[in-house]
Amino acid sequence: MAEVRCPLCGRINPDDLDYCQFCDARLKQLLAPSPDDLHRIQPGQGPIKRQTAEFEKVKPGGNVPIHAGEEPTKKDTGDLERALPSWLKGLRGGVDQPAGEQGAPSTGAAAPAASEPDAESLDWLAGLESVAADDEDPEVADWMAGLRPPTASAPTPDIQSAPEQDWLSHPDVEEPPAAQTEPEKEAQTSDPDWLERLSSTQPSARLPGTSPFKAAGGQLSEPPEETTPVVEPVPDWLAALKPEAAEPAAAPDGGGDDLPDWLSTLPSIPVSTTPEEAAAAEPDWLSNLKGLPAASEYAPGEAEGLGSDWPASTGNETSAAASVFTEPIPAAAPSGEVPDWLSKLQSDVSEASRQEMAPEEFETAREPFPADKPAEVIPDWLSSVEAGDASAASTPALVLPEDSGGSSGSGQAAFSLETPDWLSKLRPEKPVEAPSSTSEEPQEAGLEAADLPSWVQAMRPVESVIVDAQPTSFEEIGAAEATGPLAGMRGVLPASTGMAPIRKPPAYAIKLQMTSNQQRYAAQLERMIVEEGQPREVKPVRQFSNQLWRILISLILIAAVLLPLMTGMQLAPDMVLYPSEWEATSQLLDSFRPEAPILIVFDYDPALSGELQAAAAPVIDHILYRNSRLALLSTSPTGPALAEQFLVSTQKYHLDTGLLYTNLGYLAGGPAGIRLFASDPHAAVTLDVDGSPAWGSAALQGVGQLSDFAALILLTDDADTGRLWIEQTRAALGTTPLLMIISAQAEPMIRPYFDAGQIQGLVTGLAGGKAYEQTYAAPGLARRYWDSFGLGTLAALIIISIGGAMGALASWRARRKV
Amino acid sequence: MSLAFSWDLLTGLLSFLLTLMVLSYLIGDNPAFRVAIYLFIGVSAGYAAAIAWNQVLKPRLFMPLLQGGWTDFLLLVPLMLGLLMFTKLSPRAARLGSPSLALIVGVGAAVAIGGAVLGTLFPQTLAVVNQFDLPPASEGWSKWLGVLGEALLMLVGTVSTLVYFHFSTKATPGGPQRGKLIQAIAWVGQIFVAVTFGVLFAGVFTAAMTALIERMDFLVTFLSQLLGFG
Repeated sequence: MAEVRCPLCGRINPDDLDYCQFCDARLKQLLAPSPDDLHRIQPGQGPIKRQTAEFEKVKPGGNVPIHAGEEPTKKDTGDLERALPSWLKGLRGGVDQPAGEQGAPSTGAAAPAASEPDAESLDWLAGLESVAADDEDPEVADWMAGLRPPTASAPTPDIQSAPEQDWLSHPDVEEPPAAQTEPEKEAQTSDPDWLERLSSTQPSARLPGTSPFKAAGGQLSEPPEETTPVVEPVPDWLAALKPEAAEPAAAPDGGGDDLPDWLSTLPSIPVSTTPEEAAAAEPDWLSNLKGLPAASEYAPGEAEGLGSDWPASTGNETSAAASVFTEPIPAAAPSGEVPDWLSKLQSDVSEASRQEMAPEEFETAREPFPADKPAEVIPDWLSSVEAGDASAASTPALVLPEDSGGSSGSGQAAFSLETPDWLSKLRPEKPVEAPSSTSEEPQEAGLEAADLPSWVQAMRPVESVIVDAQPTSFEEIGAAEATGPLAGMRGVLPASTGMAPIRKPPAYAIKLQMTSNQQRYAAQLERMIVEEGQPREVKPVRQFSNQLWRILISLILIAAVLLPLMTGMQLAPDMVLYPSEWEATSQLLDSFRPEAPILIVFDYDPALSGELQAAAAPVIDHILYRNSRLALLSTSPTGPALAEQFLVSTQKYHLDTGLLYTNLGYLAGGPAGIRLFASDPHAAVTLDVDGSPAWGSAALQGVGQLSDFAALILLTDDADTGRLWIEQTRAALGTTPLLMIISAQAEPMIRPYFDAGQIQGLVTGLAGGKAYEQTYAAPGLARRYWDSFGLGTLAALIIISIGGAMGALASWRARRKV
Repeated sequence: MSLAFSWDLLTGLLSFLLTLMVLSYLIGDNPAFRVAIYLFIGVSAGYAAAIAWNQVLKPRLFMPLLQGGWTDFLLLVPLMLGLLMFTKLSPRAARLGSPSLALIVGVGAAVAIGGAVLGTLFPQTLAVVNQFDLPPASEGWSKWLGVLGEALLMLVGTVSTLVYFHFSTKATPGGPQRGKLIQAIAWVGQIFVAVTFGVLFAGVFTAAMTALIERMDFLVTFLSQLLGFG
């Protein structure tokens, strides 16, 4: 018959069942597997895109996931209870059911804990028992399986035959070296001072009649059969771990199989025979620990499980140390000889034990444990846990500072702060028989302290943690809450009605008190606000608009210009002071040989043709009187037309008398074209403006390069254009003079080149033309324009002066008003 | 001389109207002024295109390609570069015209920079130094002092103007400030800069005044001839 393993609990079920007979989980799928499910992705294959819409449909109940900030909705999960795995049920059952009903191994130590109905302590570990009991649960993790108690059939390891299990018992069981002599014992006794003092304090804590050395040594070295089982409260989970100690005599050697590898590899140590030898062989610090009073309190049979259960042995030593530390440790203890962690542990345990392990309290704490409990040697912290469990029902909600070790100083407080919650939960608490200060707190009806969950008790404020924050008087902090969640907190709730003094509230004057300045400022502000709301009369101001000013100035200038033109009056005299460049330029013009080819470049805009024609006309006229041949060129598209128009309008006489000139037209390329023309004129220009071969004309006979021209005359209104010609043709010209006839607006930028000698002649604007016309030519355009220019310049000067004066006056008035 | 109905009268009348339309800008922007401006721009562009075709493209590129020899086929390179410039009209194909533009800008910049260094920077620097080439004292102290004063003035003007455009400062508690010496020299340079701007304005004004005179003279002459007063 086929078997089916439950997918939930993992147990084997018959094939014919639809539900697991153990956990009622469905064993068979409701839906047949889809073809896509059959196609598993094999290694090397790509993922297959699957339709997930069906999964969205079968989403249970269409539950919307809870988002942040939303309150979770309470659901009835009763149906899901059956689906819980067994181990999870066991965990829950550990809370609900007594430990004895969970199938956990009934050990002597676990019995009392299981018999207690309110086993609130370590309830989360209670499930481990059920887990350990369920051997067939395959879902239990290995580490949890390791925590399972050995079954009855499992051989119990022999503690005596397996000394490696208890590494702390090695000093007791190993063979004392034969060479151990008295000096070594003396060295053994040469312990640190604090340990010696600790040893000296043992009589106060140990039972009478037992010497420290004997007690410790006897406890550790005597056979377990002689020890009396110590009745110590052991948690459930620990009880489940202690079957090994339950049968120490029958423990075989094979019990070492449970040991970790590193521990099992340790060599076996011979068993010591006598206590003295064992004490001589053990280390110093351990020999001092043996003399702890707690060890002396144990009966000889208490050490029965010492050699088999290392936790128990550790707890034994810890318990002994705790008993030793009941005496205050001197502050001058040589801490340098003790590790920090050990000294801290000493101080912490000492402070805790000093409050808790008083002789009477110690006896009281031991009373709840029956004497017939199995022999268990548990650590002190575990015993404190049991003590806490035993007194859990009566754990006071309020622990006053003096009760909770407030007098013990900050050591315990620091210990509480540094330990996690669960560890602080395990901290030894006050036994039931607390001092009267605690018992005097009223245990009023209502929420009992024992009813609080363990985690809430762990979170409750304990005043001993913050010692420095204690108020000085009870009246200052108010009453402390004794019960409920606020237990232990002072001054949280107000005092009872009628406690606080009642007095009449002070009477405040309604009248606003103001100083005189404040009243004055307020009145001024009010007056300003009122004035802002009142309409203000605006005096009409007659102002000339900018357009009117522009028209007026334009009319003045036009009138000044038109007056000489229309009347023909000569208002401006001839030029008396010639420009500085006139002398050099006139000498240059006189140096031209007759019929020499001269290159004239027309690089100006039509807008300024009037100025340049007036400036260049007398100069060109002067040249043409020497029968010079002209070559006209321009780097502006409008240049060739302007050149023709210049000759027609100003040199009509020479044209009529057979002027030889060639219009080379437009020179493209800008600076590069100028550069090319300077280096190879024939390559730059091949045809004239009429399309005829340029260099074959009569005007350019004998001209092969730029330096073959007698002079280069540049007419331009742009300083940049003039600069380009200067820069690009300077090397190619050689000794050929460069003469510039420029507009007045380009003079500031071109004159430095004339001053530097890079250009040899310069004629600037109407003034320069007038100077040459006045010297070499008949009256022409320059003379015609000169009167208008003079009168217009005078008018402009007057307007500028008046405008400047008005501006200065307005500025002065503005500053004066301000 | 009276104007008969001729080509000169027509062109003269057209010039007269266009001049008045441009001068109408005195009363503000108006359609007459705009028509004149648009006409001027259009005619200038058309004339420039005609000049470029008649004086550059046709005689220097297409005619040699059509009628020239094998060596003129190298002109295909500038032709292709020129055609690629049309791709700048389309944003998607504008990258194709980049080589042509790069060639133009690169060659132009190289020529301009070389010319500026060799034709302006070095000669002008040398000219400033040569200003201190004083004439011998035998020619008279007045000339010697005049040349020296002119050289000093030029030197001070040059240095102070350059310092004026020196904007490096140093951190001070009151904020970044130039040194006091630099400030004093810059103040002198500011004067030279102001004088230079004044000279430039005077030159522009003179040129504009001359242009106005030329236009007024044209109007007066045309009207006088048109009306028979000339």
